[in-house]
Amino acid sequence: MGEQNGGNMSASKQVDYLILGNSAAGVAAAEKIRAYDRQGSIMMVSPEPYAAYGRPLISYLVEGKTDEDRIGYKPADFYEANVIETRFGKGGEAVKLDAVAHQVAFEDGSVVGYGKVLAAMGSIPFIPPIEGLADRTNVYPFITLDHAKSAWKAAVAATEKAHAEGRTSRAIVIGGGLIGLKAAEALHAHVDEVVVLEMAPRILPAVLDDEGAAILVRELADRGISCMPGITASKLLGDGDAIGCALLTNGEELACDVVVAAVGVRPNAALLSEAGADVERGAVCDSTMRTTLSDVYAAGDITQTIDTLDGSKRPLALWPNAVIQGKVAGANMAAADQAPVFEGNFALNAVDFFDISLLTSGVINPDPEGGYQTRIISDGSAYAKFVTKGDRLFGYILLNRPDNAGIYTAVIDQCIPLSTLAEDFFDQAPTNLDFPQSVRWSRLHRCYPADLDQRGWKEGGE
Amino acid sequence: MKRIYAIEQWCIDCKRCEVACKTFHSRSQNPVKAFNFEDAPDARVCVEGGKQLSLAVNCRHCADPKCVESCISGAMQKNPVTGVVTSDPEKCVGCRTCVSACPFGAVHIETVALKCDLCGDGHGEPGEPSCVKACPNRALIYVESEEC
Amino acid sequence: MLDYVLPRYKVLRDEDLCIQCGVCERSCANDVHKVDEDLGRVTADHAKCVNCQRCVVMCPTKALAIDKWPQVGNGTNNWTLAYMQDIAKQSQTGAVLLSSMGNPKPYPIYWDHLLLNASQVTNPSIDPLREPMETRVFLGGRPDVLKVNERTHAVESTLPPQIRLDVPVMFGAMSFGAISFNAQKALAMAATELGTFFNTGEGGLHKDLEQYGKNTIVQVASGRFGVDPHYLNAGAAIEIKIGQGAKPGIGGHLPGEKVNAEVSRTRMIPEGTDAISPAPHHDIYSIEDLRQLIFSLKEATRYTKPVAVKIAAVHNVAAIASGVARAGADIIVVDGFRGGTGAAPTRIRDNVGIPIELALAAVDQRLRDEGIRSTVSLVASGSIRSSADIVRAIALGADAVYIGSAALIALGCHQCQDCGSGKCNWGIATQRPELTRRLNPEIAAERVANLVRAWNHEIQEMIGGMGINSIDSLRGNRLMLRGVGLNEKELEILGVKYAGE
Repeated sequence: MGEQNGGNMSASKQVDYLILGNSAAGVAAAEKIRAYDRQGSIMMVSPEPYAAYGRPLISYLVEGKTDEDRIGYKPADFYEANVIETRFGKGGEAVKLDAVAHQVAFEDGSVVGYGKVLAAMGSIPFIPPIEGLADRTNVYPFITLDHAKSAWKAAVAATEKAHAEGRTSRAIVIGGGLIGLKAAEALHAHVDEVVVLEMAPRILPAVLDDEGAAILVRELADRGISCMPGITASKLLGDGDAIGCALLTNGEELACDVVVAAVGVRPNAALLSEAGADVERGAVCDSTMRTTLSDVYAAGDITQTIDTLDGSKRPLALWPNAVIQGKVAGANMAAADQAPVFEGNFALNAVDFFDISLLTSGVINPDPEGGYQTRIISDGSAYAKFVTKGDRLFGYILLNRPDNAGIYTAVIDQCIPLSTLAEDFFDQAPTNLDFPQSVRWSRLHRCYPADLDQRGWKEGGE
Repeated sequence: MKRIYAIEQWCIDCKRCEVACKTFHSRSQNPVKAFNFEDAPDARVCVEGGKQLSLAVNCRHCADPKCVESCISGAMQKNPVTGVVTSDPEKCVGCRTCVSACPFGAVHIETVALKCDLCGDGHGEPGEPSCVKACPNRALIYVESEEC
Repeated sequence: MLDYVLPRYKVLRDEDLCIQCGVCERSCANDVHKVDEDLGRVTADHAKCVNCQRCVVMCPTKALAIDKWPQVGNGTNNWTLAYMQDIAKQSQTGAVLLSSMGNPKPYPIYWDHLLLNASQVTNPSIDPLREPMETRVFLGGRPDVLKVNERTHAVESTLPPQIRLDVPVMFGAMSFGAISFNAQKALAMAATELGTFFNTGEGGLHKDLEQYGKNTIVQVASGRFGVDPHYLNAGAAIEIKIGQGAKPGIGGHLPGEKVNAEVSRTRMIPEGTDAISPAPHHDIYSIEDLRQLIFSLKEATRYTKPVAVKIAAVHNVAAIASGVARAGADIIVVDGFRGGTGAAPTRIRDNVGIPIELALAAVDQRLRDEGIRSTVSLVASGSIRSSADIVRAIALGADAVYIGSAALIALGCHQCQDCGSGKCNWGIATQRPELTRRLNPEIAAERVANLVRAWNHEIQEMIGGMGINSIDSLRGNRLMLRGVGLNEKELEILGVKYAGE
């Protein structure tokens, strides 16, 4: 058994690379390690008893757009093909990390020794401190597959019961961020009414602005989801273990059958801070994704990232960011030649609700003193906002105008001077033709055969 | 791997490439049925611009594809042998993260993500690109390029 | 006033095949097709159609065909619908009718009345796949006597300059301005590939084509566009254009619309101005003046390049040719009345000039009679449609032929005869960049080179069939031809016997 003061726990197992976590960052790291190190032993552990899957898919699962057979992130033989030992479920929850002894202890008492360890345990949900929420049977977070399945089951059962009693069923989602709204969309398929409560003055406070949020609230209402920005539950009431009614901060009382709590997530970094690693708003890593503890790496939602657009440091809990960080961590853990480094990233969110699309990136609510310019192009249900500073694009909101959004992302990422681009770059969907001729040639013609010219003719063959 | 490159100088904005692509990827692979009866999805190649200047844009099958990096379902994959990047419509949920990542605007969503698959089997084996065959002016060429 | 002018063509669209893709709309520079969202189908403005058939070729489902406008005349022989429509148009516009390409009228085509010989029994035919066949031709003057040093095997006479053709076909004079840069470039590339020549026409030589100078014949026409010492020395030969078969007696006219920056620079005239070539060269009013110009050009090029003179086939063409030969020309080009043009008054194109077959035979015979045939090479042009026409032309006396329309048809021309509008949908007879880009010179050059190579092979087959193995043995060899359906006079002028004789 492990001892408190860091004395040697007796390791039942020794591996070269131990990966805590089985999602975007962990899988990306494992693949990279195996690519560079064909011999070393790799072990992946996670308390979730499933092969790797993308957590963002859980709402689609509940909606019926995918199923458990199809949500696997990697092919079924991924672990075997890459010679990765796995422990998913029991014995997969790390409870103590001893960076000196290079050991990790798990909830079932087992201990694994490592050469290098990657902490990729992602995010955990905040539980809102609302009176009457604790210890209730029909309130669910919405982060993992199991959360989603429970909420789904509860919603279906609640609706059956409600209809049997001759009334309609209602789900309340506390939290109008990305996860809350996706949960609402998912449950909408299984209950009669969905209400979303959001404490901030607008839904999607982090990834949208006031005008866009107002349009989205209207669009969601048209499709059967009522949003109540600026309002949350002050108290949850009910007989026995189940919540039956929410008392809102505006005084209203709303009966409900199911409650989802989606008020935000935070890095699941207790293991690291308790082991002595620097954890500020998330785990602090250098550009090789190494924490302040030797041989301990971190990647994904658990870390704090430098935002390359405004220099701030905070978690960037985004799937692509986790994959990129996982690849960097993996390459560096395997001590690859010329391993890439990670110098930061910026926000990029893509989400859809019913037939509505929302893509946002970068700085979208610019600091009024920051010297930014904003332009808004609004057309019915389509809302676009672009934040620029001088000759650079710093952020965009594209609501119902998704076409070619990645071109805007590239312009942010590569700091492309806006003055070199076509005048109507923002007015409608961007195109490759908006770039000057020499730039678009080099963008689209990487590794073009050396013996052909720009006419497609053999060089010199005039 | 062989890649399709667009030669802007010869592109005449006829969009026969789009017609051929849509036809190839339809159920019937017959243009009349694909356009008039099947309501087949739009072409994966897109001719940007107009009469004076036009350019056919399709997926570059990048060496380190941003779409694969951003795919939350694992639908987007780069075949490690052929290098072809494909999206599995069974796994795709149409979230558009790939759309926000692709620097070329080469992916579009019609329920699921659609993009150039080199007219292959959809799992990474390339075929004979229909757009290249249909182009009347050699504005699309299919040539061996270095892995990139 | 009420418009009496009817559409000439009707667009037939098979609605079972139309997929409303809009390729036809994007292919037509005349705005004929339109994908109409309101009507839910594609419509056609038939009046604008010129029957260039670009849409027919481009349609992915082959849903289109162009038919004649189904309006009948009243059946008379003389007041045909065509003549009446011409009057309707002129009564509305008050303008001269303009047409492009060659004379379409049903005058006799003498090529189709001349049959070729083949060997049987006594003079066996030659198999071109086994024996070498000489299709090379040299154009230029020949000395009367050739002095040879038999001991050293050296030629002692000075030979006048010659150009060598690997095939007896050259690309005729089509100016940059009348045709696009891409079209000229395709001809230049093909000429280089084939070992023959293309002719700049009267529009000068574009600087990006100077690299093909070894395979270029530069033309000096009455407008003298682009003519300076650099130009004269850039090509392999010089051609003075006195006349053109399609429009003998008048000059050329390139509308200002087709004079863009490139054309302006190459022709050395201001952008956007009409390029008028006067009918006569204003410094040639007698045969002595022509001789003076010929020798000025020879002086300017230090006697290193043959100088050709191109004349239209008109009534006294034989006498004119004789004068031209005596004026010092190395090559005489005779252009028959079916020759093409970018634009000419319709009545002149259709009614002026004489057939190349008769003109060629007359010129060849006159020069032989006067004993000066060997001082010049003869080149014939004016609707050479096939390799058989080439064999006939050589048999009637030509050293080589120019092809104009045939080359353009290989590039994609569908003979809609609307070149003057500057909206050629094939990217040939236009300067509009969105249209000229349609002609990829790489593809176009391949097509033309394929055509000439195929023709050359056919020529080899035909002359092999005659039992001769060299163009030299065919030249002027009237005995290889027999006429059919010709009267005494025609046979006499052509110098051939009737089939059976």
